[in-house]
Amino acid sequence: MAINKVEFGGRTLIDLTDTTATADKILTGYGAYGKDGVWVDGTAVVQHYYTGTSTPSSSLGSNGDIYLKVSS
Amino acid sequence: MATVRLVPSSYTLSNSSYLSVSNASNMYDNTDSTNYATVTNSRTSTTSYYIYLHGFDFSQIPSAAVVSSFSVKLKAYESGVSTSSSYKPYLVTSGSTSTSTYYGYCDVITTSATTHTFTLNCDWADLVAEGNNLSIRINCRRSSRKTTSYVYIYGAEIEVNYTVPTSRTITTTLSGEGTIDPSGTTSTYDDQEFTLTITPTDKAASVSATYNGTDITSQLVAHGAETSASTVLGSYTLVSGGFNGSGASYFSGIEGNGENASTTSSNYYSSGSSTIAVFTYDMGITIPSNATVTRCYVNVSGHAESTSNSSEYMCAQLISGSTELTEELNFKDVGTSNTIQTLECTNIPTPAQLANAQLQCRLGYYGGAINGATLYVEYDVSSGTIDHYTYTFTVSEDATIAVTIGSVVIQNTFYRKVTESSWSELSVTTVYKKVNDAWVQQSDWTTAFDPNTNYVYSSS
Repeated sequence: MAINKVEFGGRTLIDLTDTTATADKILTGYGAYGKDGVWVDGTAVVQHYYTGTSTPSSSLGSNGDIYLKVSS
Repeated sequence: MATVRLVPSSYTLSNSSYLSVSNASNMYDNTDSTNYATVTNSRTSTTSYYIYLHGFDFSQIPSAAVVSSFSVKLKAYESGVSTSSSYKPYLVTSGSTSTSTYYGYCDVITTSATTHTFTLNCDWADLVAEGNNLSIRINCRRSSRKTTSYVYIYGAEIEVNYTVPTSRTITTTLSGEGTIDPSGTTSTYDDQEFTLTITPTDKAASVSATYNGTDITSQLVAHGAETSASTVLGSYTLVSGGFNGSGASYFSGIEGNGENASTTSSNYYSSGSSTIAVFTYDMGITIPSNATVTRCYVNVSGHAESTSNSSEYMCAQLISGSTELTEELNFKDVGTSNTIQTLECTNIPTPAQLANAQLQCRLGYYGGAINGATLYVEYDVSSGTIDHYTYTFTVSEDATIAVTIGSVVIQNTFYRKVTESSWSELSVTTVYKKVNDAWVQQSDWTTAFDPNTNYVYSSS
């Protein structure tokens, strides 16, 4: 059973009960302990989107990114 | 109309040990010449030795010229040369000694200086294709062993009558995003075919064009973005019972399994009767229904039982229902040794016809063996997405073609939140997504964004 709070001598040593970390708020590749004391692996994916008036260069961005070509 | 008389500029001897030439430059002239070169045959033999006159300069004729007529002539006389018609001058490829392959011939050279006109069996294009190899071959064969033979050559010519079409200028211009090919000014001639290719950057953009001010937009031909040219192999190995048709009772033997035919008659298809037996092998294959077949042919392996009689021989042909897709292959022409023959489709089949393709074989008293047959199909399939346009016409005047590629109609309105309380409207014309390290234009913007992904704005 996971531990999410540790008290000793009337003092709170560790308290995870108010943490707001959830999988969808943690980037993929990172992790944190949830409010129930269980480790959570991140699932959030972040891509970039760009805007410009010409065709995007092949060196710009990463796979999954979006480019919005706007009127000049 | 213009006329040019091409003359030889070089010669070759089939044997320089026995043939010699003096005053060679005299024969690099047309048949008006009054000076001659002398070819001497010093061999005490009635063997054929040749001089080849070549080096006709076809570049004197403009590339756009239309040749209306041409003739070949030779002026010469002889002494001591065999005058048999077998040794008459021929128009050949340089070095050729064959009398069965030639472009023309003239009468034998006589003892008096005469201009001979060749009887030709070729097209102008045949002569041009030979270029410097085109030769007038003159036989210097002695009429008798002990009499030295001489050929006196005044000159030779290829007289060409031609016309040069009127030169024209085609100017092409572009307004908008994309490319045109050719672009700018192109020099050409009347009756030449001219093709303009228009490639818009945004495939959804509108494209219009005018020809000397007249709208030709409706004449632009759209071409798909992706085409595939595939070769599909449909093979059929003949096996026992692998046929259907009439006259089965006449078969004296069965060939099959793709092996080479045995020479024993029991392995041949032959009816032994004057009755014509017909049998077919199913060779249907399936290709996409929207495919355009560009080529279709079948290779048939087999041979005739005999070629020494006049009875009906085995024939093979690719059919689909009642439609004959190829010419008929007569195995008498194949011979008695096993070879692979190719039957090219003279009627290009549709995908539906290919699905019902059959190899039909007919045989009479004497037949033959068929080891196997393979069907080949080449076809194109368009993805349906327009990639570019073309406009083709026959040149008849100076012309200006003006192309306009319009702006892509905005499909959707995007808003980007720039502050807590304000949104900025984006006039988006095209959406790209990076896939496999390349930016790919998205045709459906609604699916470009992944709902499970967070997008962060970055300046480009």
